[in-house]
Amino acid sequence: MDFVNDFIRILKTAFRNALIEVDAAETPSGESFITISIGNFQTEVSYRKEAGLGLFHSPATFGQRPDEIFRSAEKAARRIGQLHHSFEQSGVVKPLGLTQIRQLVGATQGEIAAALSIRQPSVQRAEKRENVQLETLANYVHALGGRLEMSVVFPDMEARVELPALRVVA
Amino acid sequence: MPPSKVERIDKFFAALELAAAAKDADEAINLVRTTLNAVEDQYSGAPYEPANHLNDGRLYPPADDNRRTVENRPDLSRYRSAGHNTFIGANGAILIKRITGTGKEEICFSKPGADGKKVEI
Repeated sequence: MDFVNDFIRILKTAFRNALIEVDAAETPSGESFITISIGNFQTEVSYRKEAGLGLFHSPATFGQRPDEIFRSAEKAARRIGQLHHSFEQSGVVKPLGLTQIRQLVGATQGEIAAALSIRQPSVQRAEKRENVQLETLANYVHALGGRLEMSVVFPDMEARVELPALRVVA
Repeated sequence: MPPSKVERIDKFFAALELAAAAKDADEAINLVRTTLNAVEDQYSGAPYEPANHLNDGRLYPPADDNRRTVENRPDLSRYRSAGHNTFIGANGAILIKRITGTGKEEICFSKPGADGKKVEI
């Protein structure tokens, strides 16, 4: 529970008015649940030792799995902050976009631009665009230290897609 | 167009309602699992991957390690999942409650066990 306690400590520091309720697992491999209320904003986080912290932001249907998974308590708490901010601004929680990913990693647009050898306004445009080119997306995520994956899922088949645009030249 | 998650949950509750009442706790949790898995096999379009912790578009029934004891109720088990608690009685009764906030819940499904008795909390 140390990881969960760290997460709660960070949350309580960031949101002093947060109501936090922990439903702890009874076995080491079990799933704990943390219900968080900050004003009218409510969300739920699950924790499994082998998976990390799972954040839910789509409506909680019975049997729903987490929408996002974090293996850093600090990053998960920052993401809660983003969801809370988006709820306060617009009344809805926004799914993870490029700007939110960059902010979670703690990088600036200038740093991304430098890593990709492009100008900062180009990074800004990519973050605002609704239809980003795959190659731009792959390079952007690579510049943040991650990798972009794509897969196809059918009832009888599931496979990773290896498109040339997803291959980043380091 | 494939049914939404909410529509699939309605099908799950309808099938659970129609099924024969369970005689004991093992039979009851097994009924919850087989009924939801059958609905999801037919309608979700996503393969059954219980080890995949991330949302893959499919709904999963509570696992054994989601089980909690209920204080002063040896006749009852609670299975915690996202936004829900599933209570299973020793008599095979099933009660599913939706968590609506910190400390708040509402009943979304209830089925008596084979002895005709419902879960009472």
